[in-house]
Amino acid sequence: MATVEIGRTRPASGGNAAAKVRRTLITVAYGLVLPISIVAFWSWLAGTGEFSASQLPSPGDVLWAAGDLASRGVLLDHILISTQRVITGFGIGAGLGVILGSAVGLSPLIGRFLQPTIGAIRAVPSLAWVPLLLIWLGIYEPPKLTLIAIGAFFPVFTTVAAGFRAVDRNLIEVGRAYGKSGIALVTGVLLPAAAPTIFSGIRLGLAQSWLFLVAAELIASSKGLGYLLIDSQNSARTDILFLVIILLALLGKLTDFVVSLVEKRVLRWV
Amino acid sequence: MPIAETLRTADIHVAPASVRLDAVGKSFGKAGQSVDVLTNISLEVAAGEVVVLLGPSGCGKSTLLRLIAGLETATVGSVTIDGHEVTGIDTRCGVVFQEPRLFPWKSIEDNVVVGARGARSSETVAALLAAVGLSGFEKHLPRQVSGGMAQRAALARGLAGFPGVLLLDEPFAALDALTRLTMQDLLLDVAQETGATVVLVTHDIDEALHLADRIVVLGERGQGIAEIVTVDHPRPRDRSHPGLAPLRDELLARFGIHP
Ligand SMILES: Nc1ncnc2c1ncn2[C@@H]1O[C@H](COP(=O)(O)OP(=O)(O)O)[C@@H](O)[C@H]1O
Ligand SMILES: [Mg+2]
Repeated sequence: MATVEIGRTRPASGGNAAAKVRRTLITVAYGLVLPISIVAFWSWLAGTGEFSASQLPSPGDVLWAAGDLASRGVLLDHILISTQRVITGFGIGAGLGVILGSAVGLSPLIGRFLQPTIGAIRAVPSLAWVPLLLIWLGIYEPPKLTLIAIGAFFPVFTTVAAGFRAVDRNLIEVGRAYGKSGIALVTGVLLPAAAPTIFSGIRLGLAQSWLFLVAAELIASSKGLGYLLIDSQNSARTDILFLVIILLALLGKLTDFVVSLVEKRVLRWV
Repeated sequence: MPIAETLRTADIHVAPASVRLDAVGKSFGKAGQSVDVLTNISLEVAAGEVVVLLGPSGCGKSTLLRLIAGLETATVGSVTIDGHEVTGIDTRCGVVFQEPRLFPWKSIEDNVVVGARGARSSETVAALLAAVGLSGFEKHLPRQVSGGMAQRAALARGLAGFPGVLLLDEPFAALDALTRLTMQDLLLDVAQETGATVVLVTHDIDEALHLADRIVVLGERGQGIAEIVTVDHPRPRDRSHPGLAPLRDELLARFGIHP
């Protein structure tokens, strides 16, 4: 059949592999400009001699501190325990957030039951739970994981619920008109339609998890990056303070990157 | 292979389905301040008949289709298909909406398969995609094709289930003039070959004259059916047949245009 329509068509794949690699490299290069400038400026500032090492350590000092801690075998321990806490707490909190957010977003009835209560709990500044958590759950892992889970839960819950509610009615109608209902409608239409929002909620929750990890470890711990912050503050080891802050930035970025890879795979159509 | 032949080879026929509207009325809004969109619509569409709805914007054409599909419930009166009352979404109907409404996460091909509702035969899906001019675009995502192509994919999806009743809401409005003519003939081919009943909404009088066994002209919103025009011309119709001219003039006059 001859169609005379001039379509706005794009190729199905996004160009060849080499072009893709080049685009990625360019993106990375752009992203590195600012961090490199900051380190250069910092290096220069520390080298002026205006500041003492405990006020502003040089990048070299920080690297040396990293090497020192690593050679004593403790740096990796701190990193691993913190990462493990984040992953566990985030898993629990985001999991509950997805489940309850889906229930509230999909069922107006459940929404009416749960929404006011969850909204009220959310209004409590999350750190206000800390004393209670310490009394109820002791000072070891459970209160920390709970606090991180609380931090991850709310952004995930809110975005997932909103994501399901915002699904285009017209698409749902198409699904129903072509014979889908119940679970098939949820998995076949609502879930894919809400998936982009669900992912953005998950990424917000992950960022919150790192925030709450530091809060949890600052309060009571003998291991982890938050503990290392407190410990180096007490011993005036500004170099280690800088190191921990940089590590938190890198770890937060890294975990977000991992999720973004999953997201790209799942949301290939976006 | 032309679609008619594919359907013949696959021996696809639908259960004949007549559509009957009995004093149907539809109002929107809360009691007290509701708007009567449709009042006292009675219409019988025979199995295999092609009925075209014409009428001014906002007169309730889409609403009428939605009532037959079971996507809306009549405020009064009843809708029956093949003698059985329509309650809730009726899977005997295939709907082509005014907008393409493709699932953005599915390829063009998979969107058409949705219309086949599991009874998928990859041959008929491929034949339909070819018939709407989308061969080679099977794996494209909806966002990668033009609006006209998306609308044609939606047409293929509506046809793919071979429903007893095909309900089409301005299905060709977004297409360029030539493609529109091809798609009209495709619809007629499929309807004729499978025996489907067709109710189609359009603004295009020539389209109505080419497709319809009967043209149902709706009045302004809430005024019901203004007129039913029978188009008693053999098929395949010649679009420029002089015999259609008086009907065309009559319909144009109805809409205030005097040739
Ligand atoms: N779900 C709805 N709620 C309220 N009003 C509606 C709804 N659907 C349609 N209407 C109203 O009914 C009238 C007819 O709409 P529609 O059937 O879409 O007209 P048409 O397709 O003939 O242009 C319009 O005034 C529209 O605003
Ligand atoms: Mg309409």
